[in-house]
Amino acid sequence: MNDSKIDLLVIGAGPAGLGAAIEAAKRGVKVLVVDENAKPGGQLFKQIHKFFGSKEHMAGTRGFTIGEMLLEQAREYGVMVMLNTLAWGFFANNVVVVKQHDQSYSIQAKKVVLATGATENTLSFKGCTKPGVMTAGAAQTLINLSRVTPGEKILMVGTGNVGLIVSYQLMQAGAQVVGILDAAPVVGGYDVHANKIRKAHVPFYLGHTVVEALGKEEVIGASIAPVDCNFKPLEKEGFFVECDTICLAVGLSPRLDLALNAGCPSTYEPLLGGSMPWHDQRMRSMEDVYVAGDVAGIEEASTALEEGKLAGVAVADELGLLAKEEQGVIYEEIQSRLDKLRSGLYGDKRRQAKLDLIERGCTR
Amino acid sequence: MIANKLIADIHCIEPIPCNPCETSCPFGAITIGSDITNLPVVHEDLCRGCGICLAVCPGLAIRLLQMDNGNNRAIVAFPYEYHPLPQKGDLVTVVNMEGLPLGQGTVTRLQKPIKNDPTQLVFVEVDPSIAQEVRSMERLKDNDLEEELIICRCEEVTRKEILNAIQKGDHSLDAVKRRTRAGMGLCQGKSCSKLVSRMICEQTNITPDQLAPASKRQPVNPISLKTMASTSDKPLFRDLDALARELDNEVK
Repeated sequence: MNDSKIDLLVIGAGPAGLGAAIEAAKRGVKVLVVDENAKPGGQLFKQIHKFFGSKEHMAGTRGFTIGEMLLEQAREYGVMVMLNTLAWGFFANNVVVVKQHDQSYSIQAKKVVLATGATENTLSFKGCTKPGVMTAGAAQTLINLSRVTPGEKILMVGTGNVGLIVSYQLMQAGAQVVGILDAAPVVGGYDVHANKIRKAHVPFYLGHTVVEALGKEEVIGASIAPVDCNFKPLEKEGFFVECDTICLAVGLSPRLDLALNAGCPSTYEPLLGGSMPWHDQRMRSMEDVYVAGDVAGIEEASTALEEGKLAGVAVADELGLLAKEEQGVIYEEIQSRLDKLRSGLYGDKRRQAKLDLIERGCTR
Repeated sequence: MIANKLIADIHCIEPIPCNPCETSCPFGAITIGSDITNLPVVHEDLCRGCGICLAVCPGLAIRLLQMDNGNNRAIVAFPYEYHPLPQKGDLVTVVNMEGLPLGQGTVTRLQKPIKNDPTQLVFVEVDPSIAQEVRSMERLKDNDLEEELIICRCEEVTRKEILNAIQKGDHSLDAVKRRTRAGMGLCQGKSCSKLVSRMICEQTNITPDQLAPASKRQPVNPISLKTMASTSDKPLFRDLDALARELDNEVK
């Protein structure tokens, strides 16, 4: 085996990966980004809505535009982005093996940033394997990247921001959202997102769950029912909702497979998506390996970008490429932007969870 | 009505042409007479509570009733033709003619009065205050159907298989995976591992934070053996500047 050598290998070309690559490359680190997809940007190019935050977070800009800006910056600083390249293994001495076409190649890096993102959670209920049941992210890919609607009448399961935003976008794409439900008694996501679909008269079934996807060959409707205090459905009170698509927006999990292969310690934080690789305040999970973005705890794209930047700066620092005048200051700058994103009703809890996690060290 | 004896009680309400109850009774305890549309009459002194008429009645319009079993409890028996069947000792919800719940009762006996006929009689002990109204019981939930739910789609592992594994003592994601293959398929547990975690936590005293993630092995994504075997002797790149030019051209 003949290793190609690089200073920093970033796995994943989403906001976190590109953020890390740009900040490191800006300071003279030779950076290669690999991504299994045909296009860079991760989930950003599916986000046709405007982001929240302040001016420094590019708020008010649509997600895909932020993606374009990041790619432009990456080019400017000489970041190399290798697409259709799947990282399938992480071996000793920071050797990552990637697949291109039908060939595998090994790359040895001084430092690795894992920005592998997240996977969507699913639910199991009767009929959940029928065509027409899909995750909300899959539906979003269909409408915003492939430009086809998955169906005409959509039932959305989950009122987190993903469920709310994808419901809105499905309507923009021409579909009808026949209802949105959540086992919790309150809407999970931002009220402003919820109001976008309330204004379109979409019924909210709070305290409800889907009991069964109905239909012989494919979904023709759903049976939904209120839940008791243990979130068990009260099936006798169930009723029929006509739909041809059931979208599941029931949370995300950090995609930690490569991190575990690398030997990163894992920890558990329910507010950040469950099991995840542990990291310190500079996103370092273990010697030479950093994590950033959703793999380091489920948050959102702007936070992922800042975490990536933090990791990129830390790598440059480790490699002795951080200018004297930047020492300390740059970390504080990024941290303060992160703190702002993690403020308010929902953000405070995430900020506390991150602090707790860093403080308690790796638990397993 | 004789209170301490189990006796057929018929709620046949329409003059329809039907008389199996009369012809099937081995004790001559039911009379309809020559006009087949007459309503049946039970002779309480002759009835021995054998239950045959309950099973033959096409309208399931007969029950057995004993208002006092000697312990101040009443016994009601009714035909029940659904799956799954209750078991002796089960607590069931008894219902009236409209199917509305009256209260709880304990199943004391199951009986098939006619050989080779599947109609099952369920004997339930209930409070005498509701016994007069009891006609049937709430249908039991078919857990089998629920247990056939597929949890791991890639390896088609059902809820039942995973529950069995947990019952056998597999209290970690890895243990369940080894026994059932849940999480060993194409997606490598990305869809099912949280579902399996939840099942383990529901069935045991384990909390989610105590459950380690399932071990991950390379390749983390499915690739062909050929790809794995053909790990190149040549490096992917040697000269970074040349690589940069190449990638830049690709973009353009």
